[in-house]
Amino acid sequence: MRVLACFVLTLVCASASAAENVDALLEKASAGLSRTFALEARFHQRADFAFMDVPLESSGKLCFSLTERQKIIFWEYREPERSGFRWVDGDVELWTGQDSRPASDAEKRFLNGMTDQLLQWISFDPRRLKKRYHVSPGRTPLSLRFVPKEESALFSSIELTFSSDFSRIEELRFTGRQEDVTTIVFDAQRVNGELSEDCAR
Amino acid sequence: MNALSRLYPVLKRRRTAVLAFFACVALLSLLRVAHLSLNSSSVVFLPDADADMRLAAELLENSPMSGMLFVDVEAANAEDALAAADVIEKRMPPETARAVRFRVSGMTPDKTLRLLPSFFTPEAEATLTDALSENTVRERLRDARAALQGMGGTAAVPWVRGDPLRFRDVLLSRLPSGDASSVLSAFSRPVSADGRHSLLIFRPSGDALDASAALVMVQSVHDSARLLGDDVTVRMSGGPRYAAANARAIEHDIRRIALLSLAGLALAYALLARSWGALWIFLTPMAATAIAAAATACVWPVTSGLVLGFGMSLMGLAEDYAIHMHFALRSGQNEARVYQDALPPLTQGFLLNLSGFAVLLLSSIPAIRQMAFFSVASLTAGFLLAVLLLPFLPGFSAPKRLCAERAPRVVGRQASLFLSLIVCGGLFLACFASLAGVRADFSPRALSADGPLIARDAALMRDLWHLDSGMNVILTADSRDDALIMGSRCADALRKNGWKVTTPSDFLLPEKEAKDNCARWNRWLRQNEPLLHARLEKAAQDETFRAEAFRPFFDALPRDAAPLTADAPLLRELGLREPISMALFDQETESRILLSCSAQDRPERGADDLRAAIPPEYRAHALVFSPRFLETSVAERFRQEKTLLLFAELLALLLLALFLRRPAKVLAACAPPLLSLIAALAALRLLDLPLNLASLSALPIVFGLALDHGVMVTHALERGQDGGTRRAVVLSSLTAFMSMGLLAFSEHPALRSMGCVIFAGLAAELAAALWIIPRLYVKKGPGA
Repeated sequence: MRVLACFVLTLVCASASAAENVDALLEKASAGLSRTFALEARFHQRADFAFMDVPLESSGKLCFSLTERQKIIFWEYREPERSGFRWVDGDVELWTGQDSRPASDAEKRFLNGMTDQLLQWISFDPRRLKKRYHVSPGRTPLSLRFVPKEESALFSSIELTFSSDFSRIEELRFTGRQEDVTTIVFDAQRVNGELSEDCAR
Repeated sequence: MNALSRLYPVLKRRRTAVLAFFACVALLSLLRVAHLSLNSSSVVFLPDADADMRLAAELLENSPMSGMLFVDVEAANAEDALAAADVIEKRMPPETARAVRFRVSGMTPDKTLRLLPSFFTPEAEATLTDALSENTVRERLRDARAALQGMGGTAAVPWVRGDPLRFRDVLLSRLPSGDASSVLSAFSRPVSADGRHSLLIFRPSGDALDASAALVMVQSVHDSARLLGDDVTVRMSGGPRYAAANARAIEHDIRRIALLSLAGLALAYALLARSWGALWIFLTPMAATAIAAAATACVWPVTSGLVLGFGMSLMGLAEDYAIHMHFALRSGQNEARVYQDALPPLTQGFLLNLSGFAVLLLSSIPAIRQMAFFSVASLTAGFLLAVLLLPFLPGFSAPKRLCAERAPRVVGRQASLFLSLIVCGGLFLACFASLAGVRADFSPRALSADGPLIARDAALMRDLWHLDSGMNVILTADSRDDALIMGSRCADALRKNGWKVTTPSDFLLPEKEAKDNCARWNRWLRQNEPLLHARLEKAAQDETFRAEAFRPFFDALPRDAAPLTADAPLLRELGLREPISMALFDQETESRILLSCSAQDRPERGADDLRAAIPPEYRAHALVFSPRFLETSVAERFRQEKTLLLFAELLALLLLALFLRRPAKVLAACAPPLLSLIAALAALRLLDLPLNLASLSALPIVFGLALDHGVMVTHALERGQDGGTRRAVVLSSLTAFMSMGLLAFSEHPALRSMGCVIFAGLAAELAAALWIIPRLYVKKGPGA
């Protein structure tokens, strides 16, 4: 009986401690990321699908600048093919290769939904995130795993890995509904600087 | 006039027969009224000659769209707006209304493939056969690979595995380009282009015109909005919003004003009538209204509720004759003399009013004709009751001394032409000046409570959600299948002509066509499945997909598919049944189809362009209109009817001249109606209220009462005997004032503007009748 009680106690303490760690990590990340209003980074994406022989790799550039004056998000794949979008205060421009065009109303609504999600991750509000996701520790001490409380058709979980000073997100890891995994690693990050010309199409 | 003095003894002899006659009429009227069929349709407000407009109004009223409540939810971002919309939806009582979604939701690759056979037209067959070529299959898999490698990532997996060759394009190509790309939306419900608004649409569970259900719907949204706090702004538009605002305001007004009105009426009778016989006066307008309602129902078996509402407000006018008879009979003169003295002006007043309303029988608008008929019947009943029946009812004529003791004797006077000319000339000029200064708004929306607020919200929502940015075509057929065929062919023709069209025939095909398509699909799949396997397998190897990658696709391919019917559960699962039932209507037959059209980049294109683009063979079945045309048409028609109203009033003045003959007397009698008109218009201007349908309908009441009083007072002054006229004028004005003038303090704008006109008009006509007219009279004599 004593053994069982110790076991239950250990379990309770362990889960309480994990919850504390998660909260502490969320707070640290929130504090660190809230200071970030502009970012310019290269990214490398690797997608592992069980139904493909080889992982799919691509790379590109992510920039954002969120000031009172203007909000800009720039996301471009450069390898193996060029495609992307630039969102400026709700107006969206899309391109594939050399062809560029403004988004239609319907595409705008779709991309606004995406950017809305992105902006929420950038703002990293722990209260809001905990409302929508079950948050648990990730694979590393600097990672957090988010599982949507309401089933999502798009992914089953997202894992974020932060820089040691919590000022940046270094890795994003999406696990799909069919256990496929897409990892996006950010490097050469420049925080809170003016966006370079490389962030314009 | 001797004939009139002989009328009294005749009536007295036959009073039992007269009483029996009126009792029978009243009883029959009550029986008819008990079975009265009322409708609240706006069709009666549209001219008979404009058949298209009437049909459009009827169709719009029967359309499920008219009962919808549109709720716009604004928040800092899309997620908050969607979350707030969820809260509002969850808190809506399901027995009152349910949210409808005009968008495809839950679309998955297997559902797409289940839809496909019913839409497998010969063109689709050609497209998919081409897609089986080696190069196309490889190209599609390369695209799929690029999607997985790019922004699509994990989100693209189900579609890459479930529909690698993009069979869905066959379905999406049926939709306009904008709609096709919105099928796979990022959101569960519509989100505006600026990403801060979400749209909720509620459909009442019961009767779309039920005001109490509308109140519950709107209150539920308000309560949810309060719960959501200041970060979320909620706006509403649609029929229930108007119905709820009106119901709330009217309920509030009734509570506030009814008691005061009843107390005022009781006080007026207690102070001025002071006899139990006056109760008959109280009953007269009720009997007159019942008789008028029954007579109207005999001519128009289904009577407009609004006409009946207007009829109720005529009670004050119907009561007038009874009041005059009551006081005349109590003036101390013998009854035969009363009939000789009081009956001529009373009859003149009655005929003047009658002529005005009779002119309105010529209106091209059925509602105005119904109102005019009701008024003629009500006035006639009121007059006949007052003259033929009331004098013989117990207590109506006694005690006789009351008025005789107090009535001042005004002997030997006649109207001064000079004074009358000066005063009435001035009043005429002021009347024209007042008319010029009043703004008119005959839009039905101007009568709604919270009108400006709702209109502002509705305008904002229209811009944001393009709720009525285009025009509509309604096609009428004999059956649902015919309607779908017509809808589909018209939509094709309109799209070729540059119109963007939303039609349920994009989602649903006529049964026979769907059946043929399914047979075509089953045959095609049997013939091509081995080839499909072979091509996909080879291309998969080339593009590094594993052999099992596309198993979900092959598992979902529908074999021996059955045609999609209007009641198929799949349509409900995808949220398509709702848009279909909204635009495919007419009770159970669903034989009318609505095509929502917009001119895309050419807003200058109008209804005529749209009609011209409809295939000639369908033009006779098509009705083209813009969403707000009813409102503007009704307003325009009423603006035109203003001329008829003016003509009615001019005719009344002309008859007045004919009856009274002497110009000075005519001018003097004109003073109350003219001053009442000036005061009513001035009140509207001072309070910045427009001349609307309600205030316009109050004008004949005030004008009629003022004319009556002008005639009665001038007659009394001429014959040098008041005969209870002044007291009758005061009581008549006071009762009308208490029953309708107090509406000036209403919250509801229609009641308020009606009350303002009556309040100011009655005050002015009373002053004119009792104060101005006597001052236009000078002693009879050589110098007068």
